[in-house]
Amino acid sequence: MSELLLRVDSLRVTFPRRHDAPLVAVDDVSFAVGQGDALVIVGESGSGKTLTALSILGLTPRTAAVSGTISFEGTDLRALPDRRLREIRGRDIAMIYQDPMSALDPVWSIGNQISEAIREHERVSRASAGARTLSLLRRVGLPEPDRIARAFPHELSGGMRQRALIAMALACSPKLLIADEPTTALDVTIQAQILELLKELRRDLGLAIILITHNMGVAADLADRVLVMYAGHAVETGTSSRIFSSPYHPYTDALLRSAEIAGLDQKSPLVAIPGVPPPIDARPTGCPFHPRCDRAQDDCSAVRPDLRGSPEALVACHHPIVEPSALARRPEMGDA
Amino acid sequence: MSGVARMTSGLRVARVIERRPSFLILFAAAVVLILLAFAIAPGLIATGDPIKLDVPNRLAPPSLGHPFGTDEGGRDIFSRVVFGTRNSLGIAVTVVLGSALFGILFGAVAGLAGGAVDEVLMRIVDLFLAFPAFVLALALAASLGRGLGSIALALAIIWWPGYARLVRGEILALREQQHVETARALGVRGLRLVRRHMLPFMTRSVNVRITTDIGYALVAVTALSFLGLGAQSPTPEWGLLIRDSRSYFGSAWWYLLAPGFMVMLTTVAFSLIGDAVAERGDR
Amino acid sequence: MPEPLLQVSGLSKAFVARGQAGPPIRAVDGLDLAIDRGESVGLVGESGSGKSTVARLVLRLIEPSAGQIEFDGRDITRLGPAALLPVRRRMQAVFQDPYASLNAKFTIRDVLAEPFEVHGLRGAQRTDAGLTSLLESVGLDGSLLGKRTHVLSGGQLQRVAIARALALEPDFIVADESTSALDVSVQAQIVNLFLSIQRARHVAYLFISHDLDLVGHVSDRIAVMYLGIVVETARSRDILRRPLHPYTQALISAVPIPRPELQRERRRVLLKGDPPNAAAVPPGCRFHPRCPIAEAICATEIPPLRPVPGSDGHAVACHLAPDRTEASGRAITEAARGVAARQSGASQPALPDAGDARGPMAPPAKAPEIGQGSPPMRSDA
Repeated sequence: MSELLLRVDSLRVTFPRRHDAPLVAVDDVSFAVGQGDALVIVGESGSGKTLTALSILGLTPRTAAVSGTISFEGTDLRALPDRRLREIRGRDIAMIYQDPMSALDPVWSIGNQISEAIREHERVSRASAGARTLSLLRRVGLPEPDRIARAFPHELSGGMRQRALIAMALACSPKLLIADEPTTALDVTIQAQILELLKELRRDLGLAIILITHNMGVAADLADRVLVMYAGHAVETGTSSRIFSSPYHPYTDALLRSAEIAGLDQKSPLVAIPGVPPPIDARPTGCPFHPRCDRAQDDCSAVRPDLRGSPEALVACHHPIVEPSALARRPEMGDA
Repeated sequence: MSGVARMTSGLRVARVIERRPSFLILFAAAVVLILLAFAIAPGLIATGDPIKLDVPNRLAPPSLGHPFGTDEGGRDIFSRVVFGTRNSLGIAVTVVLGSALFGILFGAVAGLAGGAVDEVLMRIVDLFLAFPAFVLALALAASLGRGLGSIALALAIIWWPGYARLVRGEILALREQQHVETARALGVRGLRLVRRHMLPFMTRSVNVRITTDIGYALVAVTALSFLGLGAQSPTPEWGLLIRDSRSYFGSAWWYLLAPGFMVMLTTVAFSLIGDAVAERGDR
Repeated sequence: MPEPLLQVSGLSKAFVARGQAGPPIRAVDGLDLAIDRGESVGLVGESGSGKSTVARLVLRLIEPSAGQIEFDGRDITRLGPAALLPVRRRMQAVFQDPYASLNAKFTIRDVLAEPFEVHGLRGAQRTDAGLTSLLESVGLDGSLLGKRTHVLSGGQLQRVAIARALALEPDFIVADESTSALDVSVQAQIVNLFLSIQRARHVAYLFISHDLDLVGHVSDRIAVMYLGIVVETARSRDILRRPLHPYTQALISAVPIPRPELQRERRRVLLKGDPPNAAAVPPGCRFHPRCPIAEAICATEIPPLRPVPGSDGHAVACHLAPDRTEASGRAITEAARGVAARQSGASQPALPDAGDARGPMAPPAKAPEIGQGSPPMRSDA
């Protein structure tokens, strides 16, 4: 991994309750992202992936209790006062969401919103911000940037809005882009375009990306490394090529197999993982996946497995499909 | 495309935890219960006779026997207020419920029928709404003769269009809802469609309107009585009491206090309840 | 050959926004479709393709602007709700979001009893015992009957929606994006349920989705829609192995494959621009502004949906197909089929669909309860 940019250690997000144990949405998740890296966080609903992303920028709901370290370029983000955190948000770390319509203000033009984002972080004239806005819109592949800049969000299609949102995110040349299911609500042909754009931006700008998705195909397209989450836990991490060719965790394997429809005999039953992801207030004891796992044994319901393996290949499973090579537990992420 | 944005379970949980109950609602509910008691069993609560004259005792200030003092006829003002609940609030409630019933039916027909029928019915609603409400009420009351019955009728006539429009709007919106479409695909139609798939979803907005309207109707009833068009002496009624208290304003301060306070308290209570209904809704 | 169960000809629907100036939105523009008894046809398209409008037209939830819909030989195009009742008994629907498509105030019992009530059927099926067995046929437990709809999980609730669709033993089910709103791991369960229902009851399907792979897996035939018309139709196998319309090729190309080494290297077609407006349909071939190989004729003349010579039911609406598009089609499917080559080495799943409400897998013995008969006769297309 290249030079370290973001490091998340033992992140926990819980929701305290008055008369009950707190609800744990994210349980002890750690990962690191280097300059220009692409990390894809894969998980279904309830896996905690969105809250993980929101925690990085301190955007979790008020009722959430966050613990753990989140350090960006060496600075502990959680210890920063709000004012400093706001400087980093949007400038060094930017975020885009699944639904661009709700992220864009409907009463301001696109150009206005992007220029505002620029001027929020840098002392530049309106004209200069405007010029930069146009070049950003061009950069994300929007035709007729001046027309788009004058347009309002509702006048654009879904794909265009998402591009506009990306332009806004890039406005201050961030080093890290967090994208939460940016293509889930888009048509597949538009999704392909957006993913191509993200890859291009990585190449040209050296942008690091954390992409959150439930789609294994999207992960395969973009990821250098993958973090698989289930029921608030990190269950496996590794390089993209290793995870897809030789998954260690039964859940990862099941996800991959259920995603491959194309190769099956027509009308044959699909690979389905029985059961449903557990709701946040009813998490199983021991390994969270054990009730749905066909490799489960007695110890799986009793003891929660920790992440183990080598720095680049970790799995939290008592009986993984393939034993991770060697030794220690959670590594010191500093040494890549 | 299929863009069903799924809220993360974590965020959903956060919202559930943030709800809390409120003291004001309890207060408002208590007030309403007391009023209900006044209206249903005034004889049990009032300490004296609201009608019988007792002139030697006239305009006596508040005391143990007469918590709100007595009026110019020696009658216990507290008792008159309690008995007046039925006439003031009772009429207001009747007006609101009656006009709501008519307005809801009217609006439902318009919303369901659509097309020309809808247009015609809505123009009738517009007609009624175009009149300055109070002027119309005055005119009607004056022509129908004085009395609580007349003002009740007058107020009901100006009140129903609001409900018609509200319900018609709700039905137009509900018609587009996915579950209604699914029901139609199943073969559900007509009255059953409305009754099972639309009405239950309209209750919140209608209830909110009804509860807040009761407050407004009360003010209207008392105002019309104050002007002399509604209740006539010696019928105990809050507006009428306020009217009668005018002559003695300087000397008998307590006379105005009681009915005025009741009107204010009642309106506030129903308004608070309306807010509560609006917030909690029909989850 | 018996007539098709559903026959749609020249179906069109134009939406005119009330009080708004401007051209109408031509959501569906002259669509032809036929579905035989027991056949499952997939309708694939992206947003703006009109596929959901087709669903609503076929279900007669909205009025067509033009064209004809025949169900089992009977013209249902202009029938009113009362006359449609007997038709609706045989034609059922499952929609995308079960939370939105079922009445949030209903209990499961209400949901399942409603078909019987609406169609005036009393008798054993309406009792709790009957409803319980209906629930069990979709892999759920009778204990759910008293619950309100919103307390169930998405997968469970969609099963309830399917159970309701099955209640009257219909001949035809329209499934409009029935799996799109569900979790990935649950989608497969629901798909398997649809498959087992088809095997057991020989129901005809109109399976609508944006997911080409899914549709290809479940349907006998596929029709690809773009901007209100069908641009290509064929048997599933044929379309996926030999896509001839540039749009179909782009669709196949756009679906990301969960194999990084393949996905990153494969040859892809990236379409220019966004799906255009159904209020401003381009002249000539409606796909031409985005088509990578469009020529002059494409902008002026509308290509008819023509059968491909030498094929069995394969038709394309393109001036340049099949001759000029065959090669790129092959390249694209070969790139995508690196998946198939690898997958055939892996083990096939041992278990059919499993119930979810009860946790770990339901025993395979559940399958016969759906009403296993002899294998259905299929008119070999």
